[in-house]
Amino acid sequence: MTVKEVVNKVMIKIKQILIVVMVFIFIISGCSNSSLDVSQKSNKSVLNKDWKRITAQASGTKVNFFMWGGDEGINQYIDEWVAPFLKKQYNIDVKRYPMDTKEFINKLMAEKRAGKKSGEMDVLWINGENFKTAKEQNLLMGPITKVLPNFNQYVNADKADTKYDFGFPTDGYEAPWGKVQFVFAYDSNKITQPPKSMDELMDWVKKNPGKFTYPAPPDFTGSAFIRHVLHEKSKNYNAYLNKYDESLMKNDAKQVWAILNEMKPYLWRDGKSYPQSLSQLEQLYVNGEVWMTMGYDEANASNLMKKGEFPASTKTFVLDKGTLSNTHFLAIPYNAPNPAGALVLINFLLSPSAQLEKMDLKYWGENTSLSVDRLSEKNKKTMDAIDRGPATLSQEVLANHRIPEIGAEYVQWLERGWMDNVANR
Amino acid sequence: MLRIAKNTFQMKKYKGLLGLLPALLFMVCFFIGGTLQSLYISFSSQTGNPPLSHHDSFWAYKELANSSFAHSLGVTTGIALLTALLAGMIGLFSALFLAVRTYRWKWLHILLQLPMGIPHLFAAYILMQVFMQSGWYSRIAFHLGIIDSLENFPIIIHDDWGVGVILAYLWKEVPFIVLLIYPFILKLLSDQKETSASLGASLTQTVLWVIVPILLPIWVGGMWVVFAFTLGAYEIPALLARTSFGSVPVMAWQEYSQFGLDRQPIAIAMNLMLAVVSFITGIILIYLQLKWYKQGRRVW
Repeated sequence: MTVKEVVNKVMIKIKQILIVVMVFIFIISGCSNSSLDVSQKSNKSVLNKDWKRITAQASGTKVNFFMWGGDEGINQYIDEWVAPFLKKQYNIDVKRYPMDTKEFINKLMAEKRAGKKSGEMDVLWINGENFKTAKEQNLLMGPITKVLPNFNQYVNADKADTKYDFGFPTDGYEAPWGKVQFVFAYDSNKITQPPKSMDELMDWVKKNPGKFTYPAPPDFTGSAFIRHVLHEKSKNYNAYLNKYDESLMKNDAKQVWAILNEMKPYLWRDGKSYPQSLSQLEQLYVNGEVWMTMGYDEANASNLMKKGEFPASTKTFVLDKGTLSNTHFLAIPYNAPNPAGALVLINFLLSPSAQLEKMDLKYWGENTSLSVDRLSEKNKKTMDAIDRGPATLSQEVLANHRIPEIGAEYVQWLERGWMDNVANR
Repeated sequence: MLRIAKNTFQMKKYKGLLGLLPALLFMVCFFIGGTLQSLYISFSSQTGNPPLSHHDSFWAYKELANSSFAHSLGVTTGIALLTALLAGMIGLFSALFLAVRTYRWKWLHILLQLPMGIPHLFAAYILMQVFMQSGWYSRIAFHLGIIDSLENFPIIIHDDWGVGVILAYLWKEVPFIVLLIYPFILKLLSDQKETSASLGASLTQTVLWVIVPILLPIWVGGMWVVFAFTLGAYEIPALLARTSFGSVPVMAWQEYSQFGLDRQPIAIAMNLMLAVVSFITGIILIYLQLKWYKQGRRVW
């Protein structure tokens, strides 16, 4: 026997012992799964029913909506507008559970491991790698979009931003709820001509040392910022939309690191430290330490201006080559206790009235996931009349400068690489 | 007389064990169970079902076998050690000062204990707000004309050496040390002061040669609690350390929550490495304490 075999054998033995000990501890601490409910039939059957029967079945039930709860406007939209409407129209109670996406996916995974057939989540707000994990781990109920009348009527299912979620095929397992686009924000009192490309940004940063920085990846926004560098410097960005290929990334990454390192000495605090989060960058912007900020939400600057946090001279811009945009979705977990109610809620959230209300700055100010050309004339007029705020770019400018997101593996690879190749240099 | 007191004390000690049983059971179930589960996860070769990736059992630890993680572990341990020692020293001096000079000023004690009730996250946030280059103190200094621009304010938050991190910890942990040793100092002072004085010792000598040696095990124990806590705490370095500071709890959180489910064993392995550091330190201290007691010294 080689050393490796011996080691492996020992490891297996240790693992066996660990398992036995763990099982023992679970038993004595009463953690055993006695609540396992095997009698419940699979909830998937609801997907074969017609819509009338689904709404009838949903009437008088409660829907548990698990979603990220970090934005007051979004929470109010659900609690003050969606929930009362659904109660009146369909006699359904909507209960919102604020929870980080990662957390409820982990919870769902634990439920799956424990064989729990009936959980507590009905609707999930999800996208990107969380969706990928959920779908790969069979945590989702199935292809739900085909039964939703509003999806069939108003959503263009063939468009890339519906078919793919961060490069991963959605296959109808999730329904698009909204769209956001990355924009940069700047103080027009301090900057007259905002940069239009990464090269121009580099020039600007060098001429105005200390006045620019970006949140440290793996922060969501900072991570998106470095993907813009990749987008401008990669010879074949479209290759990233296909299957994961590390060598592709490795070739382009050298250039990405080179540019970020060239920028580094001219950043805020000489690039020795970066803001840990977007809110920290926004605070630096509010305090005037930096003159530019950014965000993966085209209406965020207008929102913050309305609240009086950002200076009134704030404007936003996109790069000539475009900025990243992504779609976020709604899905139903495999063990949803009320799948019919969940479908009704999702269908309602995809209705033109709910989508237009969501677009208004009053609550959220977020772009619609519906195809504008499928809307009625009346809805189109309402949409044009919506004031998305003084700093929000026009629909046209945004739509013409949209670039798709890349796969979660690439995103994570870049985030980890940034630490070693930029921050720790 | 002394012997009887000692015996009753020991009886009480065993009776106390019965009362401790619920806590002990809790500890066995959750602490030991949790540690074993962590060990299991850190040695697991795959996560998820169907598996997200395949590795050998040691892969999480192999991933950590590089100079950058060693550096991070060193920095994290160093900061924890420095925090513990500084908090111990300042706490001891504060407690002595309180006991000798101001034991009648209750308001001062309350003021000093106030930070204990504030969560670490909030403490870090307050410190950031006041010490940032565009923070309150910087603005005050600017308006008073002490500095000509906000950028001239010394960098305390997100600085190169972790000054902000240590300041935040000290603000939280010094009151803890004071709370721990103050009653002992008060009692020892009243018991020993006259004896020492009659032997011709000054207050400094009493403190240095009588009180500190008697107090040593409790004082060091308190410092160890601070050390172990600081070693594994996330909030303060996450908010106040510079980006490439390399605090292990922050890195572990990133691995756990940001880089995909298949890297979670690495996050757990990082935390286990911290647990090993604090465990080894604890063992050394217990050994020293036993040696100390063998020499016949004890508090009572």
